[in-house]
Amino acid sequence: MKTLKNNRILLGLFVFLLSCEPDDICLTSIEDTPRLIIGFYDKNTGELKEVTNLKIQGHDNEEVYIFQTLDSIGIPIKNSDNLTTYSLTKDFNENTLNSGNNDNLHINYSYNWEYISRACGFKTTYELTNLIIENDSNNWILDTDLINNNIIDEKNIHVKIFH
Amino acid sequence: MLKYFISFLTVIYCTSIFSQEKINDSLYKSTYGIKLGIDFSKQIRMLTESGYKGLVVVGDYRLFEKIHIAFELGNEEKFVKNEVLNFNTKGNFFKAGINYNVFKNLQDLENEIYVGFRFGSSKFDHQLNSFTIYNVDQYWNQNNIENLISFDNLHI
Repeated sequence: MKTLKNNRILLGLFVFLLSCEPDDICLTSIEDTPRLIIGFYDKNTGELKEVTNLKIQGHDNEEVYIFQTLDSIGIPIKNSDNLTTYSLTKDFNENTLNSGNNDNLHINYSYNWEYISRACGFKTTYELTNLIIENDSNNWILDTDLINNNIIDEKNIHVKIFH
Repeated sequence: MLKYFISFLTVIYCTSIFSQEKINDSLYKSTYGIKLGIDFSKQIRMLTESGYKGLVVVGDYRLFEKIHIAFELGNEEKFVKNEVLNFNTKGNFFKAGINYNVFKNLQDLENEIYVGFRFGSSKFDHQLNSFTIYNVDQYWNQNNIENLISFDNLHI
């Protein structure tokens, strides 16, 4: 009877040891590197206002990030630089070269690589320093406002752009 | 036939009683003391698993009939490379605990099948060679980072 009990303990120990596995699957429920969430607001009323035919493209990037009419967007910022520059072109027309009103947005920030897990690796979180709109003769962006300096998730708007 | 069988059982019963008495009365020697060895599984693992090196010395001291004080000293090195991480880890560890022998030995046998527990402490260094930033958005295409980062003198 006693040996039977001991055997059970041993068996239990075996099952316990076998059940330990490294976590080698990165679940999609785990949040990845957050993007910078921008909301476009009306300068006068302070309410969300769509930007018509907005083209967003990063500097030094040949690919257009997005081209559509929208009132808020998340844009990715660089993982290992302190500056990401985007050109935001309002009223862009695909058929006409250099159409629309182009404003350059410089995003200054510091970044931090944060360990998630063995399967997911790292993610980057950012702390915004400031936003600079490059002055030109005809800026469509009138003002910016930092709502949340810490970009750690995509739940809320980080930056308001007034136009 | 049946008669013969019953008497046979009686004989066995008697002998078993006798033998028990004999054990109760006699003293027999059993070894106590220190035992040293190496955990050979680490050497096998070195042959089968690339990027692994390890040496573990194990030992125990028999304190009571079934209770041993056990310890393990080890040094291990491991290189891990998966889809997102590439790092080296090396360090030393010390474990101490108690083993309880659950094996019921016959006279003069000193086999062991034990259950036990250990308290452990380790000191190790990580060197991160490269890693991938988990970013679903691949727009900037700079998620692979080759950057040597050392994390030294970590404790657990």
